[in-house]
Amino acid sequence: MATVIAIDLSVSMLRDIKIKDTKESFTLLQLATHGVNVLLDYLAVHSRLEFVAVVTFSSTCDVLCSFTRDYDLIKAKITQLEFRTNTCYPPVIQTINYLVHSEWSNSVTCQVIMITDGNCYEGLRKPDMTPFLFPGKLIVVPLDQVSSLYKNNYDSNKLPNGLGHIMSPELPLTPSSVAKVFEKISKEAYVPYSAVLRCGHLKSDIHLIPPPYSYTKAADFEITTCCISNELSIIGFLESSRVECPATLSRHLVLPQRVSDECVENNEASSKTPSFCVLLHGALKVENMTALCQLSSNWYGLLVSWADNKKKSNLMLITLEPGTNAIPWLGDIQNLTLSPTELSKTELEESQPVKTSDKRSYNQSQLVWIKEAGLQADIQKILRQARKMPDKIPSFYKELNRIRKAAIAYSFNDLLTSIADLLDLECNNLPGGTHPDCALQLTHAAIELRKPYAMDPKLSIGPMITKYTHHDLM
Amino acid sequence: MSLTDQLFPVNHKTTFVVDHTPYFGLASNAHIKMDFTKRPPNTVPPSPIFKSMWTCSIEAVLEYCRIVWDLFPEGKLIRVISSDSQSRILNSWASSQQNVNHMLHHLSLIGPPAKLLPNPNRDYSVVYGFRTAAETMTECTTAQMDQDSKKNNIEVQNKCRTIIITSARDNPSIDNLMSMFHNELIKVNKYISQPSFKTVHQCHLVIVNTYPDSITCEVTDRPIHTISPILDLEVHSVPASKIGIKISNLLLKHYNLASTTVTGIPMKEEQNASSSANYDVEIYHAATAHTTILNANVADAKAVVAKKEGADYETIKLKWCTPRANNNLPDIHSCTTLHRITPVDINSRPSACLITFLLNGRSVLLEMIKQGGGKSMSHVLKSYNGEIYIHSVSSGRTVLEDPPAISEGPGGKVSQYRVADFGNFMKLNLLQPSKRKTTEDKNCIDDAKEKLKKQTAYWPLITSSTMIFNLKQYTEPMLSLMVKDNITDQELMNCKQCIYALMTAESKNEHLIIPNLINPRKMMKKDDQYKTMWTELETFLKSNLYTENHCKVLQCLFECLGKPDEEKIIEKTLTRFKKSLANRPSVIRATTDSPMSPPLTQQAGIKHIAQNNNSDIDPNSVMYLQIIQENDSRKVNNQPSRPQFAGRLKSVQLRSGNLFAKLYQHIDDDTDAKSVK
Repeated sequence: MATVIAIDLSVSMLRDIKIKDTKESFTLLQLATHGVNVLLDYLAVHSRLEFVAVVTFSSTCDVLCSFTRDYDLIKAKITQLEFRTNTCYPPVIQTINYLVHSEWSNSVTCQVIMITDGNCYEGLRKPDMTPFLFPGKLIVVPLDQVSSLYKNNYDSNKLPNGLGHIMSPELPLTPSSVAKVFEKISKEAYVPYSAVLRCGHLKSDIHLIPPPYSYTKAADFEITTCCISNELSIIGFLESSRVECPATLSRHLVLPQRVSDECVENNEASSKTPSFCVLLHGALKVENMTALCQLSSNWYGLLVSWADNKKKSNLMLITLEPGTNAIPWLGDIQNLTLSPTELSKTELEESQPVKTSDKRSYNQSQLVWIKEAGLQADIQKILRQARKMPDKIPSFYKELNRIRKAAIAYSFNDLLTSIADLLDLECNNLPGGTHPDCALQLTHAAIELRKPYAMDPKLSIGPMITKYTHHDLM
Repeated sequence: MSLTDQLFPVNHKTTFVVDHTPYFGLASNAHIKMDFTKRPPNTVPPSPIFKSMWTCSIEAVLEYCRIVWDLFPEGKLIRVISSDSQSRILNSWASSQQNVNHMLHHLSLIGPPAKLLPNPNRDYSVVYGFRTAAETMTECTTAQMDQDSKKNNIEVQNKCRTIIITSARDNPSIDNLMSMFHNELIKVNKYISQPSFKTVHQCHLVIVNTYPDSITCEVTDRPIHTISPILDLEVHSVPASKIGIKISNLLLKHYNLASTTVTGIPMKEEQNASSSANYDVEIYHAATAHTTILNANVADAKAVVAKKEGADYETIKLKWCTPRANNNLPDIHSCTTLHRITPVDINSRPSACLITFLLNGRSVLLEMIKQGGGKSMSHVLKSYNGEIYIHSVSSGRTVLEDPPAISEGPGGKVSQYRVADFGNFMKLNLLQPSKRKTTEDKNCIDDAKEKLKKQTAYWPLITSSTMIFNLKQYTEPMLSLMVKDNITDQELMNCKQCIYALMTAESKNEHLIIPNLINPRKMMKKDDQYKTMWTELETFLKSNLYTENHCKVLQCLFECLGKPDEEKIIEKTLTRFKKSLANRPSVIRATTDSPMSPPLTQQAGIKHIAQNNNSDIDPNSVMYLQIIQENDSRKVNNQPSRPQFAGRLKSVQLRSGNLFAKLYQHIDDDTDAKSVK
């Protein structure tokens, strides 16, 4: 997963907060920095794989630090922030959209944490606010001393358009209340997802990293929301070459859980306790295979061995589009059965999912003449074959009948007589030395095309029987 | 657009009403030059031919159908109605009639519009088609019926689109047509009674007004606007020669499609095969394939978007990237969307070449040229089972960069995993599309899970925690036979022979040589070895008691070891089987068995008894009772004992799985077919 932290640098963040009973005072920005540090410290311990980027905004928005796992670098950079002008939210959303897209394309879920002043209650509800263009959530932490007027105007902390929600620290603002809210965010947003990976009686407790999110899909007749269940059941195996490249929603590392919680001391012991997860990974890697598993009642995923580089390979869960037709070329997933034996090659070809009975237009010889060139190309084709008769007699007549049938369907009657004229012309132009059968066939075809029954879709025009021997070709 | 707005799209059902009146038999200005052959100079070239307005219209309709059905083989249905002196329906909502060949066939039967002859008895009009169109829209499609039967909370909204292709004199005539259509719609909505018909909740009416190119037309275009709660109207007016382009522009909006132009495809020139030139091919697909590109940097997006020549939509230009080898494909997980494609110009030579290239199993990578001149691979074209898809590929970094290796985690330092055995297990459990069409609600997934469960009932993860799986020279084929749903009598014999072989080895005081054991110093004493092995074997057999024959194997082990069945496990299991057989409701039988299944008693596999050494069996055991019973029944039937000795003897001698399996292949097949579950 990835996180974007957006820090407000408007002048209002310059405000000083005096801490009761002490002489200390902090600016809102200092509190914000403190909060970010708390978050980063949490990540460093619990979620080291998290990528974090920081943007700062006021009337414009700038990327302070692009996605990195070097949290110390971020800490260093946020100590040197300078104030700008007034707060303006739309550019932030835009900048984050581009930042996320250029870095991750659209396949990564992103957590956005925005630290701003109290204006967010109203500002983020304005109509010019658009939701993010990537899968993700926004958490807004408003730092304001007085319980703002706006806050009471809106009874919900939820932002419109599914943008996210507001999470304010307890008042009065102190470094510790800010720290508390950031701890809360960290604990809620960066929980590893625990699940059981199961294959028959074999099972393994696992963590999924990043945690999977529920997915809402709108089909023509229903909107379905799929949540991953906490039991991933393998239903069978596939050769990787058969899976090819289906559309994937998200990918997650599958890491076996430690047997007990006392991490440090048991590290050694736990790495020596056999885990089904590790066995599965080894076998998938050696055999170059993929395991198909059920994520919830109508959602499936693939388990593969995956390596970032040559050395470190890992078990990865790929979530497919919800539904049973996520890999169209395998057919309905519910119709897949376990075959007890390895199939021979011919059997394998037979068991390809039912070839679609009606082929796609590009896979059959359909004639489309909307553009002039389309028809002209078809006519040129039969003329070329006409000149090469008698060798090309079968293909000439086949092509001629194809055109004829299309012309009948489109009610394009003039075309046939016009082709007859062309054939006559072709016949007259035949160079000397052409096989005499060629002229005979051309004349025959032209005559047939002019007959009234040429428009009968049930008939085909066949070659003329001549004294020349070539018709054994037919 | 919110998710609920996407529910019940109007494009689920589209009806075309095409004017087939004599007026549409008039020639349009769409002409084709027929000047192909060299002719003597100063002769008149062959005269060009003209398409009729009907030809232009119906071509455009068929092209609309072709593209929709190519991209959406299911769920987007189109019907075509022609109207002259009466209306004629070309196809139904049934999927068997939703294909272009069906349409072509029926169009051939309709023929060209009648010649315009003054005939007071015959009244030609497009209006006859309106009633029929309204009626077809009330007919439920299979998908709508299915959804109705699901009894979801939301009522199925019957939304649809009607496209009328006709010729009107002026705007008031268009209004007239619209109100006639509206009235028909209201009328049919009143008379809905049967459940297979549904009130039309909303209809998007598109009137395409067309006219011969030679005249000017007074009908003006109107953008979509609401007429009534059930009707929206949109009007387009085009000369007949342009109708093809107009309809395909509408198509893109109706189905939310986008256009991609694959540029720079190197192709040999038609006339001169030695030189090659670059060509472009335009394809259509769902618009979401472009989301990634369009959401990224605005400048980059602008660099690839171009206006399509001669049309009012945009196309995204992506560069063909000559593939080096097919294994250059991106990783399985970097493909984020997948959509069917279809070429726009299906007959053009460049399209045909690209299509053939893809259908032959090769894939094409598409590059996006960025504003600064940089490139990034954004899409892949590839065919599966004769269908071509566009994959959008995520070009970004992966969030899983530099992950910890699995070997660093829990269980990572264990080196004795039975990887090869698990590999075999996976190969024995490959998923295949089932050939038979299963009954509607049958779910193979639960069967698959059940099968995996049986095979893993006892499955040690590492070699050092098992003996029997390391002693395959003795224990096979028993280990693989026992996990089957059913074992035949012959297989039962084989299992027993494995046990006997181990017995023999023990009596000869042979060392159980265990391959792959890492530490020879830790080699157990012979006695301990056998003890551990027998205990493990017992556990294994106890975990796999699925039928009576399975129980008999365990029984055999107990007999060999001279050990009583302390927990009465066999007895309990057998009683359980009997109970479940007796209690088994006929309904379940009907769903799991084929009508050809033999009666249950035979399936349980007690037709023959393998061995008659009853003497060892406790006369009080269920086993004993059964054997007696079976012997009796055999006597009654006076069945000659089957010719099993040859095979049995052989298997004793060879004790090798291969030879044996080959010999009895037909028996295996036979019993598998009869198997209960």
